[in-house]
Amino acid sequence: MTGTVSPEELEQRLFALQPDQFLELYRLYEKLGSKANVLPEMQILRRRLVRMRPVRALTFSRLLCQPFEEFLVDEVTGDTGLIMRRSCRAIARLVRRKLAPDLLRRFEQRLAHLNQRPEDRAGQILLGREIWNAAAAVLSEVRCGPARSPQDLRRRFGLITGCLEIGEAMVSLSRGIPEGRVDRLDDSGRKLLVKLLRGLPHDRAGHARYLMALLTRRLENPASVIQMLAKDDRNLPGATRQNLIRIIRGEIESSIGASAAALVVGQTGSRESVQRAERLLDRLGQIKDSGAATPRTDKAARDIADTLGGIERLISVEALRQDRQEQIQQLLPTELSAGLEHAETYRELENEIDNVIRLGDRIDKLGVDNPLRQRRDRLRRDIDGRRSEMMRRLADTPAEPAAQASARAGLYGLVRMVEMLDGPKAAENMRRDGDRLLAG
Amino acid sequence: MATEVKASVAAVQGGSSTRAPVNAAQKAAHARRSHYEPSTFLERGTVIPFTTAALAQCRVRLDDRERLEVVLPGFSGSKGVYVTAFTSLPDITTLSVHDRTLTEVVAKEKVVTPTGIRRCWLELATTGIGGQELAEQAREELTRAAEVQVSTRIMLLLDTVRRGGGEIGPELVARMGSPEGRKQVRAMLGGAASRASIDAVAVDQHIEELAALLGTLGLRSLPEPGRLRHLHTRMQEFSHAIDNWGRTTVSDLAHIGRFAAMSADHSARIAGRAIAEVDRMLTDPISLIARWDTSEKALRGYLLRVAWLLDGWDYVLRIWDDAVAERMAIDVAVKEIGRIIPIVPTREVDADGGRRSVELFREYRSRVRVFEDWLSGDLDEDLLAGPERHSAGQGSARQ
Repeated sequence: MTGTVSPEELEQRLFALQPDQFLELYRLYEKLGSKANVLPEMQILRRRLVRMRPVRALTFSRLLCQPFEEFLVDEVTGDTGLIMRRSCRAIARLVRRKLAPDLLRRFEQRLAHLNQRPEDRAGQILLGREIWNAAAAVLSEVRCGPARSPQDLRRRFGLITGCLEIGEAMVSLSRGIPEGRVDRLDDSGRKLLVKLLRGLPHDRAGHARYLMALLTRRLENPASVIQMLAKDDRNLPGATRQNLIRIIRGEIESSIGASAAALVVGQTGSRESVQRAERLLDRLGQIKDSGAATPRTDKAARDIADTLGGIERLISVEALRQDRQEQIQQLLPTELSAGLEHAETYRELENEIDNVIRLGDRIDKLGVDNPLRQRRDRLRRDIDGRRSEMMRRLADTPAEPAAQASARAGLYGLVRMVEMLDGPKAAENMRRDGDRLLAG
Repeated sequence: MATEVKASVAAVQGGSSTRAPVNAAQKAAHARRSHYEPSTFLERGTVIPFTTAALAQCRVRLDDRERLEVVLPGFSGSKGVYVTAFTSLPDITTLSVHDRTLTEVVAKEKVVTPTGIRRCWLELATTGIGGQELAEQAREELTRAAEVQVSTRIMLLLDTVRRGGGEIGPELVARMGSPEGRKQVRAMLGGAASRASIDAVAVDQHIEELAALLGTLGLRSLPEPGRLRHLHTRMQEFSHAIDNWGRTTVSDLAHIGRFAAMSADHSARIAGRAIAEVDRMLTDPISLIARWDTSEKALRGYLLRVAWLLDGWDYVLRIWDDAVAERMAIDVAVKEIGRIIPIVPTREVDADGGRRSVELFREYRSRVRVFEDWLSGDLDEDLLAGPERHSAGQGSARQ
């Protein structure tokens, strides 16, 4: 299929299919599974599947990975407590190879039966419990061979085995938290967590750290769990609470420390590093608000502020391709494509202003020295200079539509930046003045 | 100024009213009135793409005296809508410069259709007043429409010439944009022109007009669909996705998911019929051109209907995409979708699935939570005042 059609064309065709046709095709591919060489097609299908979220068939591999699903990532960046999604297949293969053939056959039969009754959640958990226990037993006997970073590998392997050993609790907690971005645990989530913590077997009490790691991953504000545990003196013994608080604080510190260290320092901040810095600053702000700040988190805040101060330009825009720019100019009338003349400069400036404001406000909230404040003042001076220059030139704009359109795009672009720095009122005044000058 | 604002705020369809109903009869009348169920597209209004967060997805329409007014969904935190004069928007909230300028343009041109408002917005956005990202989006959308228009014209010319007994070779296709190429193509349109009983120049002109008309939809056979056709497909996907979410989630917002899925499916189904009619008319471009006056009117009607039906859905899909990509909590996204979901006007509802969608909408409106009136689903001011009065009483007792 891919021999005659390029991946881009294939993607275009697959995305143009009606949803019903697409789902039918997906189910066919899913049936083929690993028997056919359909991996490139499946990768394209998955991009649309993420949007469509169809009910997917329960496979051995999917059920096996449920307890550590929250730790799966497409690419590992900085944070060491994560598992690559593509390694799931290898883990499932390893478990299947090590399991007794009779047991494996029984599991497969029950899976096939469950797939005919997708609403049977209890049946899934019952089967899952058996598979997770069996897999944990198998994996705990596997010794990690020499690799490039054996310690890191052992840690990931330990995480998988630990999650499988308390599989039911991990899956229950994961399902008990609403999907997507969640700020903090609600009341039912809190009750569920306490119930799961109290229900952990005696010899698995140390496994509470996997539940805490899951919360650190899922919650936007994991420090809220510290507050919650500190207040909850009825359900959990004091020593347990202190221990859990220590664990979650450690999880937060290590994830922030690792991510802060992974921030790329260069002359220009990439989109990813700016986003990551913003997320980290948000997290640090929440920790501070929760009263859970430690010397390590304070140091991380200072490090991030210094890193951001060391980046020359905080822009993260990609320039418009030259051929696309030509196409736009060719296809659109002059009045609509006039803005292209200023687009690149203005986009960079806008992006810089936006990043300086957003990141600067977050650093201010943390109460550490803010190296971005000076940059904000510098940007304001730059925009003021451009504004005076533009206002001087506007009155001399020729009456031709192309010149007028270009001048208006220049003016309105600057108005937008004034709005970002000084608010809508100042910007509105500037627009009115500019329009008056343009009208002659 | 404050008195003026109060006087201009009609607040008639749900939302908070200026005076709360007092007795049971008034409450019931208020509740009936509160059930915002527009009967026509004009009554529903057109979404105006403001950037100010408080005004997201508000709709513009004409009032009884043909003046522009704006419908704000869930403005006061209730499930109803808040209606106010278009000119008083700056008095209600601080508008961004983009929104203020857009308000001026729309008021000047007095446009209330989705196509008209979109045109105004695209022209304004390209100036960069809403930021360069928005400008880029607008230019990209306009360029795509222009590309669809060009490809549609080429496809229609190829088809028309073929039906007239001729054949445009690949070498001529490459030169179609040049004056010479155009002359050659016109000469080849003779067969079709005699079938349509008009001259070849008129056939060429009508094809050009037809392509311009189809810029937002495009032909079914084009690899890159027009904006509306693409949106139509995405709505069907969304309906599948949120329906699956509603069935599997433990969230108490599952009923909003079901309602959104049903509404998306219903709107997509009716829009699908109009799109199918357009596609059917385009299967024989020569007969379409032969009866140009009636065909053009019918086509414009179908396209406007599609634009009305899909109006407001792109924002819903954007929110859903944000939730799926974990840029937004799914519960927050679903709640926001419930606030702004575009309802099919009652006169446009079809017999079968549509009724169910209306029932679900009524069920959604009638589900009440704490402090909401059990008849209307609006925030009950008496209930809200209750605890405050209670705590105030306690405070004074302590003193």
